[in-house]
Amino acid sequence: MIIDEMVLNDLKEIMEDDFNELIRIFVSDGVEQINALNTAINLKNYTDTKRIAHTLKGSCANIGALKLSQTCKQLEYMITEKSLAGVVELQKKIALEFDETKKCLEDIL
Amino acid sequence: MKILIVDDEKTNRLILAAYLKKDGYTVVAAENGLQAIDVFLQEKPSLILMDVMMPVMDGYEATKKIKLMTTDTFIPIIFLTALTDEKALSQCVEVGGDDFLTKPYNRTLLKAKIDALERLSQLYNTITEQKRELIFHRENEKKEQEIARKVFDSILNPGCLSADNIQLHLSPMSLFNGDVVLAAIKPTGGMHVLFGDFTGHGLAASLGALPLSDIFYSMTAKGYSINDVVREINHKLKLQLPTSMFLAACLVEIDTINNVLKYWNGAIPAAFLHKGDSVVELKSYNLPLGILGDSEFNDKVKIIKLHDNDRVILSTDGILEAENDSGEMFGSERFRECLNYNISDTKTLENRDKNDLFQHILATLDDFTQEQAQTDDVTLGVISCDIGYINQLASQKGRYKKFIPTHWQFELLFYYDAIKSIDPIPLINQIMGEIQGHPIQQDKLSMVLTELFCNSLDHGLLELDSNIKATPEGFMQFYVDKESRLNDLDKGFIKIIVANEPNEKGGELTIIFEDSGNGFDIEAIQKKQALQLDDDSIKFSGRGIALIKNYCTSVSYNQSGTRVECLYSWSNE
Repeated sequence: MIIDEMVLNDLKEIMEDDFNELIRIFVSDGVEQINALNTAINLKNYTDTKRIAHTLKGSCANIGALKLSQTCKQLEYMITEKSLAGVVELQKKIALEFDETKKCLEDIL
Repeated sequence: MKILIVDDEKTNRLILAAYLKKDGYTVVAAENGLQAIDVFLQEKPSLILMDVMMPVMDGYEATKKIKLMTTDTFIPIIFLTALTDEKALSQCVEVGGDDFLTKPYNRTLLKAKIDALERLSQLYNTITEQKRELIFHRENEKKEQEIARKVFDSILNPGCLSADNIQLHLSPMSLFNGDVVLAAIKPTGGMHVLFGDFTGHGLAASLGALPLSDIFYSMTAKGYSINDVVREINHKLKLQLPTSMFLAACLVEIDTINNVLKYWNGAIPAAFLHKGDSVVELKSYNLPLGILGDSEFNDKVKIIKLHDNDRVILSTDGILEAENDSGEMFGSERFRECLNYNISDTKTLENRDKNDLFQHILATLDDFTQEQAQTDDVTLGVISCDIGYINQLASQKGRYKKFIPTHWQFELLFYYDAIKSIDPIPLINQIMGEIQGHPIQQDKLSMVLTELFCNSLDHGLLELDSNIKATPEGFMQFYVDKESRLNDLDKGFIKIIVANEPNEKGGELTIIFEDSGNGFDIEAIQKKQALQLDDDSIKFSGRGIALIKNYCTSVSYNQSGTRVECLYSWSNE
């Protein structure tokens, strides 16, 4: 499941008029974060990589983007454990899943 | 309540802010630790939600800095974290975090945590405020006691506490523990000492010292014995102090004429007479002072034969209650034990310092308490019954105060308005006392003066007829008339002249009262007096002449009856 609609509905209830704004910010911030993540990985700056993965994981969880959140968590864990072999593969996976999530959110809106 | 959210992730901030606003909180936000400090200083929130991993400055660092800035107020910080490893969580506590909230957020849990911390912070701030108040009051109390002590120092008679035969451990603040020590030389020789301990602490416990020292010093100076002194103290304290307040006291009289020690002890637990080879306890057989009424009170004193250089040891309960490290009290057994101490080598005052009982007691107490007990609470006195020395003090005092009757005269003139507001009799007594440096025996003299003054006023100025006093109704009418006429009085005067012709024992006073009234028929009254002494219809309440004649050696009036002159003999024996 790309998006947990229950989470999203709860959020809608709480945020009321700000809900659309929240989603818009999630998407635009998400684009920035993916770019920053790519840069960090290319520069082999794993401290930044880990922090960005951590942050992205959190914001995905907030809006119910559970699949992407899981993938970010994997990346964060990988760097913590210093097994860097699969980093580039996960990087691609995150980019793909972000696009999926974005589409999915746009459909809902 | 204002809450600061610190998180680098926009959606987190938005969602949290939405949660909090729904619950009625005001929300401010910062994107990283450094910004958090700025916003904190500007907005003064009362609670902070803090993310851990942030660029520029992380949550740990920001928390440390904010906690350092808020040592006297409590600003709870809740860490927002997706972290689950113990090391990271314990670091949150180390830097001063007060709670955690793990992501993703649960709105109910967030509200509960904020509520709990809000209560805690109210409690903390209340306690801090109370602590501040307590410190303020304690300092205030100290200042007040310091002022009170200065006032007491100047009011309270120092007596002869500094005499060479008295060794005293008495804190300047002892009054505020209720401890009082008084000592005075009797005019006839001998010494009075009082060790007292008022109930309670603080300023209240010290107030009783004022009437107490007044009575003690004035009665001792007049030569009263301690049984009279103790009875009067009991009477006054019972009258003047609230029922919950009383005075444990031991009064001691060193009688240098009969070489005996007289004592009265009411509830002082540590009073002894050290006789060189033996120790006698000056036991308490009485209740403290200020409890019993005059009729139940027992002023009987105990008497012990004295030898030169016997020592009286007096202490209030501070010494017995002095504690050591393990909370054990010094107690009366230890106190009694340390009195078994050979002072036979120290018979004279000169040798005393070498082998001193007083120092020995304090040193024993120090050993026991590891020198913690020489505090405000310990009041100890050792009085050496050096008969020769005490007599010497008495004779010095006597010489200074030697009473010599002298020649003098004074005149007082009171006009009508002054008469309405002053009673001249105490004033006359006081003037005579001041002139002679010694009060003149006053009871009969006061009666004579009072009678003379009433005559001049009632019959001279107010023209009242005292014959109407013969019936009860008339008696009342007399005083009603007196009050209204005195009130309306708008002219006239009374002149009083007192002169002394000294002799060996005292002197002869010439007392003259003159008034501006119409006078009276002196002969008619004298006739009535001579002829009708037994006749009830004419009472000599008229001019009180009978009483005056009884006490004076002569009484004479001028022709018009406006001036009376009396001769009054007095002696001070």
